[in-house]
Amino acid sequence: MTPGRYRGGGGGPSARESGAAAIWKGAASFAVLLCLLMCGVLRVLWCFSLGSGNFVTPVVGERFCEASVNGRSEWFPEPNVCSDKRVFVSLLLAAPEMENRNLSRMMSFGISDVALECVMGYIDDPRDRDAISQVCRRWYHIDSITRKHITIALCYSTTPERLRKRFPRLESIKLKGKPRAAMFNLIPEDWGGYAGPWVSEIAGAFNCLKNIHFRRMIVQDADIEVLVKARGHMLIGLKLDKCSGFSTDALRLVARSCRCLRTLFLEESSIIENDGEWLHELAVYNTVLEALNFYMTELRAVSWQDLVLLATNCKFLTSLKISECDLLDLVNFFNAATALEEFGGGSFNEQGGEVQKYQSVRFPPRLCRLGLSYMGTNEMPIIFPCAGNLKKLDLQFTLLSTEDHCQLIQQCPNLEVLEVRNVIGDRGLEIVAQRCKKLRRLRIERGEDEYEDEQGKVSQRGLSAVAQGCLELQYMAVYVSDITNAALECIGTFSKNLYDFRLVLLDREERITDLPLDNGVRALLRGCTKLQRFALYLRHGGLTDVGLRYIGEFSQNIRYMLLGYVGESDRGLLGFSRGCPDLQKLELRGCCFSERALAHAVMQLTALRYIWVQGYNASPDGTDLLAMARKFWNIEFIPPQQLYVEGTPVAEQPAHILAYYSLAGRRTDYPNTVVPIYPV
Amino acid sequence: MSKSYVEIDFFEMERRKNAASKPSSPEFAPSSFRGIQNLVSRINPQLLKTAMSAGRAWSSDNTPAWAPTSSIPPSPTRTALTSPLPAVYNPVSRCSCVCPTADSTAPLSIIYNGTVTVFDVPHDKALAIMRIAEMGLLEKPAEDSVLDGNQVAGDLPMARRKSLLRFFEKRKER
Repeated sequence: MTPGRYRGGGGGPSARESGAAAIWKGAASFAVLLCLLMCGVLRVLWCFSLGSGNFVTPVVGERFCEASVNGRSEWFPEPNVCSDKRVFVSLLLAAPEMENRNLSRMMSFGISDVALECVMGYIDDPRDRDAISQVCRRWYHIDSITRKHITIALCYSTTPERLRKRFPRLESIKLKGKPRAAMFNLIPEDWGGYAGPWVSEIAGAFNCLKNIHFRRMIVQDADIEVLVKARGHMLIGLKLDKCSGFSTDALRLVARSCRCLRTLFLEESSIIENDGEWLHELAVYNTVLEALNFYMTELRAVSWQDLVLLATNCKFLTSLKISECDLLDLVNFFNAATALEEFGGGSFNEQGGEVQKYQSVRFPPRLCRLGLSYMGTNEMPIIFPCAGNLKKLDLQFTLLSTEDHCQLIQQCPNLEVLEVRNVIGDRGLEIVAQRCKKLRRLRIERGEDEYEDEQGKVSQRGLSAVAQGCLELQYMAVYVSDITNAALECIGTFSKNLYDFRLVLLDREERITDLPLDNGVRALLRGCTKLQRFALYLRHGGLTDVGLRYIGEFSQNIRYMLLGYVGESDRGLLGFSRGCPDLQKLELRGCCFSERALAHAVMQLTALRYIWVQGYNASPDGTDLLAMARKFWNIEFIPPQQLYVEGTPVAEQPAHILAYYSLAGRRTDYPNTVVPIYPV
Repeated sequence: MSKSYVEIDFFEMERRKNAASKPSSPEFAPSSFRGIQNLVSRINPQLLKTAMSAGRAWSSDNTPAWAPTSSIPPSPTRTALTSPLPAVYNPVSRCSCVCPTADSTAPLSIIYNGTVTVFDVPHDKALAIMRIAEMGLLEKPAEDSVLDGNQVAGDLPMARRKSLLRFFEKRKER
């Protein structure tokens, strides 16, 4: 199981602000502070209706709790645990101020609704919003109507109707369907995540919606038709991210009808290709497009003339990521796209012959984010002229050697985001550490072993170098061939800005220098206090039960975890589950825990809303899972099966367990491969 | 042609009967069905697959009419998680430790994860299969796997990202 690519909404924690906005922000912070201060007093008044109608008694099951992960918010429903505080209320009532029942004015503290709406508009963090919405009915209502964006981390956790009732004026929505494991061919294609019901609601009710992002969902042509008919005239951003089920006909409709579209994102979607007309129509009808992305799709009918037309008509085109199209065909495009800052994809089909062929490719002057597919050693020099400006470099799909990586990175001192395969080697990482002082995100994917460079292995040497050299690092995801506790301690010491760390220990080498990693992991977790996302995928003997307990003990702020082959027994899991106070989403793979222990752990992890497990100590009939049965908790079981990828059988997949909080009740659209388990 | 059967004594019947006379057999015979499940489930699946595919390669055409020759896969149902099929216990041959001639084959039944598969294997190959299964069973998981260097991490192969898999396939085609 590999660490997933993390795409933060805003990238980093802070944004530039103008002076006026700063003042409003200050006012907003004050309001939040006030709100939080009063929460203690006001909360007790919830449960007690004073007949004024200004107090809300939270309905059981209606409280929605959101979590923000560095600009990206996740929304999970949470059963309400309202408790009776009448005792306190009666004490308060004794106070003379309470004689005056005009508490509505008191609630607002002299701030009018209009002002409150303005102030709340600047509060984006979903956790702050959650707190605000619980102060009183008025604030709940204002939050309701001013909420602009929502991310629903699992589309089955709630229903479209509930969303509409809660936030009728949404401008932006992000919905996720299939579990993350689908990116690794582990989830059946027809598992679910249908956009249909959501699209119907969007078409019917959400009048302010301008941005739609579906991720890992099944979106059909008919859905897009409905969407476009209802919201096409207002749509600014449409992202069908790793989706499937639609064709180029639907894209054509989008191109023709959504004239305000600034972002069309189709990365890694499975699209049925009928022709290339959609691109032509997009080029003809759109003049405001800023970002077009059909990277990692299998679209073939890409006409470079259409791209040139697009560049000519869309003066603001800053980002283009395409499927395979020879770079020589794009020379005219690059000349036309003067505003371009980001390019990804393409192809090098004429690599055999002369070395000079691709030298005619000149990138636009502002280009600072680049990723070229199938680029080899001979073609690499075309990047040199703009290497000094590069802030983001994607070499995951290139054909470069370790030495090539070293040469290239040597010329990129402004790099902030680097994505490579482990062919970069420790040597390449040492150069990164020396040169790329501004590096924020580093991703080192797994190469193909047999075809890669001999030096293409990453170990504790490279990791330690990067930790010490790149102090701005916020995100690090690596596949390593070898590791030591010292390297992890080094990361804990130096990488103080790390909020997302993922380590996978490859299974090629039989002997690992320094296992178990208990102490290193503890040092890393204690040192990286900002850590919110954490993945550790090891092997038998990689982490003892004590080490697993350390993870529980020292992960105060971690909200997402992927653990693979950790621990030795159920005791480790139970020790782990006593900690992790903020853990919302947990993925486990290849662990030795029994169903009973898993169920117990789920009940102990107080913040847990989602768990996925594959490879565990199954009981013959799964009854032990029922120990975690409870209201609003959906449990799905995917029995072992043969998975197919494009017609060919892949290895037999063991069973999965997926469980999550949901207010939507029973799922009605599951396929034969999924067995739901519901509480009686 | 004389048919002799290689029998794996899951239920310890023979062992109890011949407790005094026979030398102690390896810890291969648990006393309950759940034990069998645990036992079988602890066998490294890769090992088992190798053993099965090896067995299949050696199987001959003369399978007895009464024995099921095809594998019966488990069928997942919607309502409940059904318990796996009960162990197929062959009551016909109760003779223990029959030694067929070197080149005659006998059915070897393997019950795994609810699937019953029968192979016709010669005696020495059957012993080899049992030895491999024993090895996989008695080995601690932390020790290196003898079978495949790539499986050191455990039973589940490390999953690859779809995008990279596609890239590797295309790279090979170029």
